[in-house]
Amino acid sequence: MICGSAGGCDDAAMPRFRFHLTIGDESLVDAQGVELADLAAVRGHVRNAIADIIGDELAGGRDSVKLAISVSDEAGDQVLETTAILTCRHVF
Amino acid sequence: MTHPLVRKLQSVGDLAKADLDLLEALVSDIRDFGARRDIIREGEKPDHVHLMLEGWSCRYQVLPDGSKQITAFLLPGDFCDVHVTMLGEMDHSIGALNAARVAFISRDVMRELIERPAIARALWWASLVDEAVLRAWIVNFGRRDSFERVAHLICELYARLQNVGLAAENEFDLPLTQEDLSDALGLTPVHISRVLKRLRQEEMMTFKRQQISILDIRKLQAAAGFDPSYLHLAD
Repeated sequence: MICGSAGGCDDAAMPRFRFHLTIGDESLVDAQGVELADLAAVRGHVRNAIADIIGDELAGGRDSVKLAISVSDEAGDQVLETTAILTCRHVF
Repeated sequence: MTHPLVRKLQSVGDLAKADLDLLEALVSDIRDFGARRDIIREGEKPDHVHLMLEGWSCRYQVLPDGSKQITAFLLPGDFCDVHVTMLGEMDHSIGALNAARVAFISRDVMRELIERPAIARALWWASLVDEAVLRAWIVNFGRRDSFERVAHLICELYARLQNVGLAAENEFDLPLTQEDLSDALGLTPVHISRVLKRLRQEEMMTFKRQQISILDIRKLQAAAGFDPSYLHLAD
């Protein structure tokens, strides 16, 4: 595996998690998944994904975004679900 | 058969027969690497310079929290670490992304090479182009949104692969996962997946089974703000 460590790699595979996204009417099933060490890393990954997506939506001129990320483990069991809602109210 | 470095350097300018013979003789020590294996790691002091002959690799660094940043994709004809002849120690790692064939070139041979003016000039050119690509990546990270960022990378890889004869008309193999793209572009894989879907819906390109099909190159380039001049490719 590519690991970057001059001392050698720990070849033990990490568990793979799939991140399924719902944003508005759009749904995206994660077929590939991501290898992460534990549930703390999963939560961090979800937070980063939400920040990425909401940032893009705002940059695209949208004032309201509702999205959900459901995370499943290798067995297909849901291990986390996070919903984020952003509403911008402009006062002129 | 002419190896990809010779093809690449010849595109810059004519090399004398003696220079070409020397370049062809470089590839005597050839080693194979499996997919997802490190070719060289950060902190190592290699005795050889590595030249990609087949397959893809990437330059990358691992952060203390275990996350990874890919800083370059290396294609056939690219030197992995020509700078180690001067700097001595690797400040990043290089890993094979798919099955790769790599030529190991001793430092002594490299020194001999760079004493030949035409070869030194061509290698300097290649190094300057690498720097130009790095500048383009910084602009990509800093000033483009995720859609433009992905589109720009795809346009760049297509142009580079075309230059070494490894892309068909509007199609090429991309031995990367969405995770690799996210490590290269500073986006999460979830987000990459959404951007790829949008690129497909807007009929610019598709990415399926590690193959890119470009549906409308002009539209893709326009969306990315892609100008290939920084690659300094031959016309």
